[in-house]
Amino acid sequence: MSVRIRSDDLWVRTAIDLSNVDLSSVAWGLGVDNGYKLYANGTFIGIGNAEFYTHRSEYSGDFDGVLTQGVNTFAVALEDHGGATAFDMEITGVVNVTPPVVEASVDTDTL
Amino acid sequence: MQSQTSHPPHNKLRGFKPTIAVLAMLSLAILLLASQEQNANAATSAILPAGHTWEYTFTDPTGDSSWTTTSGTGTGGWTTGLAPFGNGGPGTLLDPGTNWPVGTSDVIVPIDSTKDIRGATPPGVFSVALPAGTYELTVAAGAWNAWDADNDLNNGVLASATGCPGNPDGSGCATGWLTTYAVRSAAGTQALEGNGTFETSAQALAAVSGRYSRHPADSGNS
Repeated sequence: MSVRIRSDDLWVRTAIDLSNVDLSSVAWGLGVDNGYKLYANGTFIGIGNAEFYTHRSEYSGDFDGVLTQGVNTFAVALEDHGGATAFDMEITGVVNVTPPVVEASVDTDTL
Repeated sequence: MQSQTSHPPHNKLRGFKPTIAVLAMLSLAILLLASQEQNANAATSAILPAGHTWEYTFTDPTGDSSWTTTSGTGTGGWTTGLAPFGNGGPGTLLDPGTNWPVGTSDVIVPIDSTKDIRGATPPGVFSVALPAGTYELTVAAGAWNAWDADNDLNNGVLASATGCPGNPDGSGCATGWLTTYAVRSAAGTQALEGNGTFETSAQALAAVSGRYSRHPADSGNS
């Protein structure tokens, strides 16, 4: 008897600068054939596993306060059960949340 | 007069009051416009859009938990590729930017060439110790001695058969060949179950050849 190690699993990661982003607004959505484990800055965020076909919004959620201003690392462990494979992910959020500085002055010397 | 001489400042101030009011209104208008602009900018947008460039590897990096907190290519099989990842199979996200092939590696680790599960409880179930991972377990070269849990095997040769007496080739036996096992494993000892029974070894091998084994929970399309 033998054990054959499956080679069709995939691991992906990326680093994104979230400076100037409202962290409370950041959300994620992904699609995978067949399963995933999502991490943000090393913290486990979510897991899912399903047969049949996928689409880009198959799974979604937020990051529950684990994000920080600056560079954040997102990592996903992916698995396939044979046949078709697929993965894509999107992260959304509100940018440019810092209100513009408006300066208005009155010359009181002229009053 | 004094009152008059003291009047000019009042007159001057009085004369500038509309200007101050205009400035105040302009400031308010600017603030309102800025607020509206800010609201417009507050729309949700894609910070990491679909089709983004990711670092990826097919080499299991989970032995070092820092793989979720670091980035960089060149070691551990890490390289970069465009999403979507996929093999373009039916039902996948269209037009994969990076190929995600399916298949099994050539890494085959012998566990036990003559595993004897007679007496296993429940029948057909046994355990092996595995590190975390996803595996396909299969009978090597059809030389599986557990053709029938009720049979008496002597060095792999059928000595007698209680489940199918008179049929040393196995035909007509109740339990049949136990052929393929699969598990998605956490670390530690895992119980494995046969996912098929066949009347003959030829049928068993034909069923195993060229297909992935599946955990019973994975039945169906993928």
